[in-house]
Amino acid sequence: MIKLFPNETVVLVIRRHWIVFVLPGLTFVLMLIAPAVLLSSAPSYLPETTHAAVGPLLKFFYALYLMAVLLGMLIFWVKYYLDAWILTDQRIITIDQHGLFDRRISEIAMERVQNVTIEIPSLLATFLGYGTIRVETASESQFTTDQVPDCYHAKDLILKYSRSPREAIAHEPDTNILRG
Amino acid sequence: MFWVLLSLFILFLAVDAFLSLAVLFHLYQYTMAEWTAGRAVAIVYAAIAIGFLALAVASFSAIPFGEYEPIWRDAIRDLGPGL
Repeated sequence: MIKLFPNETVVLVIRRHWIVFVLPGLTFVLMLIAPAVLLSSAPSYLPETTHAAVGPLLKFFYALYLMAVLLGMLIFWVKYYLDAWILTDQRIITIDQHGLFDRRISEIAMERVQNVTIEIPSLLATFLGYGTIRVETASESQFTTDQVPDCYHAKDLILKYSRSPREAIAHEPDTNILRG
Repeated sequence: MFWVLLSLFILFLAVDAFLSLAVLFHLYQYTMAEWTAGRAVAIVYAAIAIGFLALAVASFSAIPFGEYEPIWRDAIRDLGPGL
């Protein structure tokens, strides 16, 4: 399990926009429906399929096929679900889930965030309100996530929590200098 | 035919079970305690997968393997002179 520090709270969990489901979703629906349609209409173009010996064999392979497609859907969903950015009041935990066994986790302390850039790449993204967020740190490394819903809100939160501790630190030396 | 299909079935089930368990492990290991959607999806998946497995087992047990034997024998005999 992903664990937080004792005094840490989650501010936002960023996952990709639902648009990422459209094309794979249609593909999966087609993969589920097409064989059923083909099998039900098979007797018209393949009369052999009505033979008593063939029916159970086709049903058996169809059941295996359904199990495989279902597993494919689950793996796709898990990749979506685990591929997330967790924004807390102290750090950003970036989880890049490339495949089922291929994941990369990074942590960025909020005070190390220097720049936050958002990109709205297309007309569709403008209408649906998703975009790319890029976070640059003090060590010049870059973290990017695509198809973020409500990316303006996410950017504002990152900036808010990354600037507040730094501003507090920056004010203290100023007062000391003034006093000195 | 029976043994070939049974071996294929067992191999498929082994791979399917391995990947399913890997997914469930990921849902437990790499999530936060408050993320409950993963557990709900896992339960729904398990229920549907068991349904499909039952369908596969029922279809497998209904396959009349005895009827295929003459077809196999004829096919092998036809291949004979060419081999």
